Amino acid sequence: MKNNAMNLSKRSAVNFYLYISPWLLCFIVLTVYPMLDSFFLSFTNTQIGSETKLVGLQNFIQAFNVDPQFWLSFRNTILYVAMYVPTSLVLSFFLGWLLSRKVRGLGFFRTVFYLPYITSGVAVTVLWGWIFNGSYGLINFALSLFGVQGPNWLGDKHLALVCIAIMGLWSIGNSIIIMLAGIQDIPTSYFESAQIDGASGLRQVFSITIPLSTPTIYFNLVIGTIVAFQLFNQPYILTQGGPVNSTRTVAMVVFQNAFQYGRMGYASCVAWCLFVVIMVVTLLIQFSSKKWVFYDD
Amino acid sequence: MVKKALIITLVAFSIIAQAGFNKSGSLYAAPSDSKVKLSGSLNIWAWGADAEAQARKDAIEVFIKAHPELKVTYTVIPTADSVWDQKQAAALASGSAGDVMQMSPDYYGMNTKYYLDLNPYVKRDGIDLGKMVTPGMIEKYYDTDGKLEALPLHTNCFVMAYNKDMFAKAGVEPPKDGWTFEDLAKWGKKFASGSGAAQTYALAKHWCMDNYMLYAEGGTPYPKDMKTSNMGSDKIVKALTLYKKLIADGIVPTDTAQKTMPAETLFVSGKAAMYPMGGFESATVVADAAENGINIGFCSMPSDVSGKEINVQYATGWAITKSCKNPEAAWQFLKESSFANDDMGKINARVGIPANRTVAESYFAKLSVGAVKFTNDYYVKHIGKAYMNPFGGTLASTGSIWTTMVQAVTLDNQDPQATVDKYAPQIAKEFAGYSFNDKK
Repeated sequence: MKNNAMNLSKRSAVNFYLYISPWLLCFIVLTVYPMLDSFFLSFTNTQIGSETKLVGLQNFIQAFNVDPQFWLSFRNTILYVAMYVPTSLVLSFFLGWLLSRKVRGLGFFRTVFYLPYITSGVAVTVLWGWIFNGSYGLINFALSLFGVQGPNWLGDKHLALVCIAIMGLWSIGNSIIIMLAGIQDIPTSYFESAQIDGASGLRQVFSITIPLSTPTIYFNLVIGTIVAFQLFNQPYILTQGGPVNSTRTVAMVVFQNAFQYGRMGYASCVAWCLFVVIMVVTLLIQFSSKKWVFYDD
Repeated sequence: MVKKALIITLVAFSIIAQAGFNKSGSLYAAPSDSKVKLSGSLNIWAWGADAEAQARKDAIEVFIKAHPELKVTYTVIPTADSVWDQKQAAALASGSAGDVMQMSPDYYGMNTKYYLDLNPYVKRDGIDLGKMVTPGMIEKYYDTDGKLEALPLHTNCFVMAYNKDMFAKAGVEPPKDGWTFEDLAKWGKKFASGSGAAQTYALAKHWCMDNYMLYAEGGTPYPKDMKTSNMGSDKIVKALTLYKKLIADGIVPTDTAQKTMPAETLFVSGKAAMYPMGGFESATVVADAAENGINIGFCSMPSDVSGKEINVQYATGWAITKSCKNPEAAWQFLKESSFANDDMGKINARVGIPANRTVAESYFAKLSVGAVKFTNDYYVKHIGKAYMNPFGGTLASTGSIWTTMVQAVTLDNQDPQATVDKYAPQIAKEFAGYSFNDKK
């Protein structure tokens, strides 16, 4: 009897590893190995077309002390994260809450808010490029109807990153859907009790919906932060990092060095710096979550 | 018996000697037989989109038909979204690139360790490249240490197209040979009017414009030996000052004004009086202008203050990788693509000035574009004077800083002298770090 149980347990283990092995293998080959390799590269002067030599911490010294784009790109990226993440959380919660209401045409609205998320990022970016165009753009045309001459949105170093953040907010459909699922998961009995006790709609939002949505907000915060730190497509397509480097992000610096300048070693170094920053920020969010995330159990 | 032993010994020695020769790899370093019978396979990697991709395919097909003894495979990779950049970088680094790779002296491929030096092949076959290749094209394929990285395929430079009606309406004489950007700053204001969608300009801001402005005041970005940069010179400060004026006066649109409105569209819709028309786009521009009823004429590109015409070329060629398994077939392909096969040359002529001198001068130069009185002869005559795209490929990081300098001055209204003072040292550092300078 005992032997049978052992066999069953062994068989389960074998099955487990067999089933998981395709993913595990791909993960090792396509993620773990490149990560380890890029870690090694970050200590070399690897440049496409030249001999590779170990250079110790030279790349990191170059990044911290010499390359002006390194700090500039981190500053831009952090600015973007600071603009995009809180706004996307507030907006996605608000829209998710609205979409959880029982109103006519709910399916239509849910589809409409989700659509930008599944639309090609390049197409959305080009579309926003037209909207923000200083000469022919929709916004400035609308402003001109009121006699206001709009700014050169993407040509102004103080506005370009803001425009890109607004563009990013256009595609928060996924966060909205996750937020909606979280809100709908809150037992209706809580709201019924609150209503009986005379709580207003706003009070219910602040005392029930928001506290019980914190696990979902936490999830969106972590994912949103990681994604925002890796911002690449919009500035690459729309501004190429300009004007005057005001939209050059860390991901762009990594891409540029790796694939345009062929400096794989230095690009790996910058990529690892970004990884460390994302890791630290994520850990901070995780530690802080004990104080503000409430679970229903 | 002794005779037999002697023969066996001699044969054995000759085999050992032969094996030693092969092991040394000297076949790659110094090919010894120009009449090797071709066999085996050949893998070619090219880039391109639309007409260029089609021309590439058609030319390779001509080579395939001419060489049934070879098994040729090829792939044409798009350059959009840096697909080519990423694939070729990974393939070259991992040794899995094609036997023949497309390269460009202004894009990627110069001063690398991945390609065979073609000098020994040229010497072996006794080829006079100066005679075979269209003048002004081969020089750019030599590294600073003399290595010949590739053979040219085709190239393109520019002619200034102008809107005759806009010039007549503004009461301005069309530019004559030797005109300068300084001249443009004087009469260009007459074309600057309106606002928003109705705004008109003297000159559309083609993507090549930043490169042209580099030379506007007689400066050059670096000396020929490329040991350092000249980007801190007064001539660059003057060029930036002039550029700033052209933009501020509405003579040329800002970079962002044209981000979503292509420069060509601006010209063919009658909103810009002039447009630098590259050889690669001449058919489209002329056709679009005709369709919109824009009456166009042509003049030379502007000159610098010393009277030297400023023209910039964007070139493409073929290189043989060091991992190539069939260098003789690859070399044959390079020769035919570049200058030894007129049919391939004529196909190349669809997208630029072919490297095949005979085809360039007797065929391409005589082709007229659309119904306007313009022939490719202009491009053939002017290519010899053209600068190579100054910041392509190996120098891309410097190009990125130059773009920032232009934006600082033209978009952020910064002082040209202060901008040069700030960024020129960064460029000097880039030059100091370029690996090709280690080779000298």
